[in-house]
Amino acid sequence: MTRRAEYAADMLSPEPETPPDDATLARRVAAGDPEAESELCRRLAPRVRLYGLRHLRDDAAAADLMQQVMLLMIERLRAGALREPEQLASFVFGICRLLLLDLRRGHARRERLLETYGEALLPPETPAPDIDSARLAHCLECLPERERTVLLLTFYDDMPADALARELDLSPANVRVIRHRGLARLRTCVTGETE
Amino acid sequence: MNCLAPLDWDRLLAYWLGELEPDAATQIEEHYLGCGVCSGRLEQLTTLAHAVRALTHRSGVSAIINEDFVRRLSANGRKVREYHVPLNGSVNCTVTPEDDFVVAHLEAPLDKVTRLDMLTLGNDDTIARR
Repeated sequence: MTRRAEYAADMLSPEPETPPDDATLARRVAAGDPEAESELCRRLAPRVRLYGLRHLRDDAAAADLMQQVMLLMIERLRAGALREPEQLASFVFGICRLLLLDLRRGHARRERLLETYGEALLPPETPAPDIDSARLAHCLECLPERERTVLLLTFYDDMPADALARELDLSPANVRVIRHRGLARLRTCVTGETE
Repeated sequence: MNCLAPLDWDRLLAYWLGELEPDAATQIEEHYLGCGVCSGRLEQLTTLAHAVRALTHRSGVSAIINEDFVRRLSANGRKVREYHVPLNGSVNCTVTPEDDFVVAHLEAPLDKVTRLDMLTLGNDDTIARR
């Protein structure tokens, strides 16, 4: 094919379709589009799971929260409760906070929602991506001793800098600097990414 | 998938560890709930933390640690075998499959020492400096 023909073919080929943004999906859910519901849950469920993990520090409880948030979000979107779809993140954040409180109080909102909507809206399980443990071990061994110690103690107990500084007799600022360097080196070694 | 103001790794880690003020944490949550890039970063970070924790549980890494950490390992039900190596001395040690961790306490006069280098001899006679 000549260069001119290639150019013409390029011009005639359809534009690659950009996926709809979250607000567009929220509008489509309000209009009764089940595919938009699935896509929105697929996108948002992992983010809500992270929110749950951060607050509950428990995989099963975070998964439970994630399911409840997705169900209530879809219920409210279907009912047209979100007036400005561009504010979807704040809307979901509000639901997260509400249900987190419920979960801590032991309420059974989930049962009512499941009874209404069945299991159809539950997002698929999203297993966390795996890291090659041999590579991780190698990368940790390559770190300077202080960075390895700080990262190990940080990640083992999710220990904040203040507490770690007290244990290691360092200043919190010093711990943060060591942590920053160690994390950057470890990420670069494990993933090959730099920032 | 773009983000005009991506959250940096340090800020995400500080959020994850509960170091931020509530208002700052709320801002981060509202951001990543609506952002594929930053939620992806947070996912990477938590995956890395989880992998380091798992590797530590499998004794897949050696490190200089403190007494508090050793106590927490024992409190978490890990089987910790400890040896005390006297100054200029040596200890014959045993490691069994039941051990989760082997900890060596090195005794040395470190008063007024400002820098400490440690040399370790590997299985292949290579010397590593720490």
